[in-house]
Amino acid sequence: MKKGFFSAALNALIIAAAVTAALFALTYAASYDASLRNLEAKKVADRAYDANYSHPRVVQDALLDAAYQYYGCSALAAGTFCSNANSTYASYLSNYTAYLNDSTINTNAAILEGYCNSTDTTAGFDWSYAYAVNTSLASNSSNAERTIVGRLSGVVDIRNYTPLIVNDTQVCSDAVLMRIAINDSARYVVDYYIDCNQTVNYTSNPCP
Amino acid sequence: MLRKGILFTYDALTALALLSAGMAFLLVSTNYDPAPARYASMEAVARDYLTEKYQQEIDIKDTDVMQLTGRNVSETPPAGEPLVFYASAFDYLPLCNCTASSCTLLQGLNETCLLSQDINSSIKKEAWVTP
Repeated sequence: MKKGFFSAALNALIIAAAVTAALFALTYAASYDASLRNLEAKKVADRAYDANYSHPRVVQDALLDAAYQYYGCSALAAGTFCSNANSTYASYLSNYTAYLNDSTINTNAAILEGYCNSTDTTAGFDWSYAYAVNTSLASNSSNAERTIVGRLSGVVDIRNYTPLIVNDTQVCSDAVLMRIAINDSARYVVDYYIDCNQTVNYTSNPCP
Repeated sequence: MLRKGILFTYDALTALALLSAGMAFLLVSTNYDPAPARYASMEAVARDYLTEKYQQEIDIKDTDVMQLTGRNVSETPPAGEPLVFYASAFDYLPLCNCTASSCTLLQGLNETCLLSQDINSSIKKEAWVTP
């Protein structure tokens, strides 16, 4: 009975020690892997956040450049403003995501919806276009993926050839300006004047 | 022997072993390697610095980070440091380098930015943190 008791106690201790060691090894490895996966997932989520954060500037850059290249200082380009804006945006978006990629995280963008239509609702401008995009921005690595859909809408206002007014009082008659502005329904997020005839900055150097 | 048998029967010892194993499972299931957690916290310091400085345009300096977190952050890789943590963030360039609400561009001088995308590798911001 005594021998049997010690034998049973020894068996119990060995079993307990073996199970504990095995569980510790398993959970430690699982915990370590989970921690690394969490770190990777956070980096992927951060990259998707960054992609979405700057996406409005990609749209604005494309609209600004398309407007200038279509209605700017030279003769009208071929096509229409909307077709030029759409192709410029697609090109800029592809280039943008290429800059976001590195050896571990890849980012892809897909234009889900696009809208561009002429509108004359903005007073004082020669042309106005309503523009909207719905774009999927997906960042992924080997173990994680995060997708954010960027939705943007606004109005592109374009006015050609207005007199340059310096300090709201002085007009330079030989200045030839065009204006490109983008309104996101709350404010002008882009408001650029381009002097097509001068290389002198009248804002800092008043009219000669 | 009978009184000892109440506590130390084979069944009781087996139950004790299972109970110990169960408690060990609970104990070790809460264990974690502190290295990834440490990396995450240091990486967060660097990334927060970048997003605040470039995306939120807050005038934060490395001395502010040192004061707030006790960590040394730098936008150039520190030389000779045995342990360095890294983070990155992206921020698109200001269109035609204009940071004001309204800008004037002059043909033949600085309007060429309207002919191509305002992007280059400098949209990637990087920071390194040493503990």
